[in-house]
Amino acid sequence: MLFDPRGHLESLGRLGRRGLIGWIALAALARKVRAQAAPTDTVAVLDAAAARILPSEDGPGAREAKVGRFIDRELQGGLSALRPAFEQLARLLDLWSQKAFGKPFTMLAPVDQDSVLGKLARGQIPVRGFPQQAMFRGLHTLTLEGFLSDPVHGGNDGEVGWRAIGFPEPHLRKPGSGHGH
Amino acid sequence: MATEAFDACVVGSGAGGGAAAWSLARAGLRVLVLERGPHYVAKDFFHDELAVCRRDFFVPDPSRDPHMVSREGGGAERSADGWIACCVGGGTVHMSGYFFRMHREDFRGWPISFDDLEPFYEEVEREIGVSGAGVPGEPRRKAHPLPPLLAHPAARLIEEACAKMGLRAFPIPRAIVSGDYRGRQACTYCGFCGSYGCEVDAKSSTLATFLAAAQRTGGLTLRAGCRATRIVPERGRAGAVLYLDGRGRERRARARAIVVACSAIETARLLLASAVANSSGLVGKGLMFAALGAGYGRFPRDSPAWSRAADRLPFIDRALQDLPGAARGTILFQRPHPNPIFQAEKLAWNRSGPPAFGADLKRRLREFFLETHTVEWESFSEFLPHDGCDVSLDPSVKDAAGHPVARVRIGLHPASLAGSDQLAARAREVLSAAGALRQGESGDERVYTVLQSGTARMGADASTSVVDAACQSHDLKGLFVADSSSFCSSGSAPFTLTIMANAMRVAAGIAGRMRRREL
Repeated sequence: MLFDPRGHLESLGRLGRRGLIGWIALAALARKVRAQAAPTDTVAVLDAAAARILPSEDGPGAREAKVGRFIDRELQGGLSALRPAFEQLARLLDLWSQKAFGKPFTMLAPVDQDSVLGKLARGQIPVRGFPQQAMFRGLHTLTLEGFLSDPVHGGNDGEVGWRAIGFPEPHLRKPGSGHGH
Repeated sequence: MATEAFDACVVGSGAGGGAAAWSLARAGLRVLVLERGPHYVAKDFFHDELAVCRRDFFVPDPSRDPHMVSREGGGAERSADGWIACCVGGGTVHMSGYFFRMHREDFRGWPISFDDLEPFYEEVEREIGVSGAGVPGEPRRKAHPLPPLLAHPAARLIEEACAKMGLRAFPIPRAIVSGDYRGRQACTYCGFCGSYGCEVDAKSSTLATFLAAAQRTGGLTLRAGCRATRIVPERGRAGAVLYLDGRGRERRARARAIVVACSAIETARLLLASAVANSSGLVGKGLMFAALGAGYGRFPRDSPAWSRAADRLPFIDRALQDLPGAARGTILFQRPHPNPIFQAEKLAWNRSGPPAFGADLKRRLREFFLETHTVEWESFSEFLPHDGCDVSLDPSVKDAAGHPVARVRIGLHPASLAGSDQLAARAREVLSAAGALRQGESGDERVYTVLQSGTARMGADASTSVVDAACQSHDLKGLFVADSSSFCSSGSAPFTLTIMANAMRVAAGIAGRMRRREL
């Protein structure tokens, strides 16, 4: 085992109003995970994974909202401390996809991508010491953030996420735009 | 080191610090307020969930200024938990503003009674503007100064359901002005209250009210970005506060009265780090939060209660208090917060197993956002102090300024959980009676860490309490506590109003002592 992820799993489970703590715990993990040589295209893998968390069947999903672009920007910006952890996650998804299905993650059929993510979410990929469930939760959170945050952050492209959920009323979007009604 | 002298130095500018500062300045005293966070003003507040609610706009980045938090006996980890907003106005800037008085029975074990606070409750409500229509069982001589906020028609559903059960739901008293009040604009019903600052100053934060009024007296010196690091006794009295200014330079403020109001966790940290006021050994012990329950009911989309026009009314704002056959407490009914990321996370949450994703997640989003309407409930009930819940100095972790951070142990007493469960059951009965299609829980959080108290209790006996009934340290003359640290019970409703009222009482006591030259 490279490290004991138990405490971090706990904090990553508590997202929402206190989403920040999850990221900080991950930053601590990122420092502990040994870097591997990674020919994996991190953003492409995370983008493909996000597109299975919020698929585009039955209405727009992560792809239309450009969640991959959002994740890339966050991991280069305010959440840059987490980038190594997500590079590791992308690497793990690629390695396991190769082993189980003979192809990198981005080349898998959606049903196989779902199966890989389902294993990750339950911590069932047979790899020692990688905080799979915590990282799945982190990716899940980033996906929701990229789908539903203000487009100024790089996701929710053209407000596609907001329109998909009928939110918000235009008068709620920015202070100043709705006063006087 | 630069030294200045004031009559009073108030550390913290939230509910307690802001109210105390105004009361002291009004008495003609020269008051310094130190606030570690920035001085936002109304135009700095905006509706961006990611930036405001999910990053470090209000609370410190825990990679720099953490609390070391352990829950239910687990290991300590870096966390933003237990921080109240660090900005001028503190937590009152991004509060929802549920402004209940405590009831007579809540003061059991306190050295003061409801009657001691009553005039101050009245004064706070009048000074800052609280909107309400009274509260059954809440003693009061004067009506709320403003009528309740306009309620969404679903409030009627709740009222009628409660009436069927023989209960009386009433409008939640809120620190939001329902009409123009003392130069401030009425609420515009945008719904971005909790977790956000109010961009029209309709929320009665200390930023919009007490601190603004204190500045008009000319007696207030307000310093944002200034972090108090130590209280330094001088000749057996409270003496001076050392602090780091916005540029990181150490400065000293001498004052006849030092008033600490940093929130129960940070007040305890400052007292412990200063090694003052702790002859009892009780600073940081007895930390209390509020026992929390939360859930929701889904209602049919075509219900007449949810007309398109009513969609612009964000508040249901109905409450029940002190239900027969349940632990003492308060249940609040509201529409969901207009934070889509937060809502989506709650929708994806599963009691066991990973969060929902794929088609399952999209189905849950559709049901919530497009196919049904939702009424949410939250319950607040008594949090019993116990040995597994306290504040101490972390032995190794330092903050960005190099000072030990607070180590916080959080745990819920089984009796508090049982009481909270009783309220949850009643809340579900109400939503059933109101015609909910389906009900569920909103997560597994049962401790509400934003309401924190009890780490520097008041009492008559110096061996069993930290401050006296005037909230002055038993050990150090001139050192006062003006936040909820001094509380002896958590009460059975959100207690921000009680912090303000008690801070006014403490400040009135300080001003009186100064007039009599006792300080």
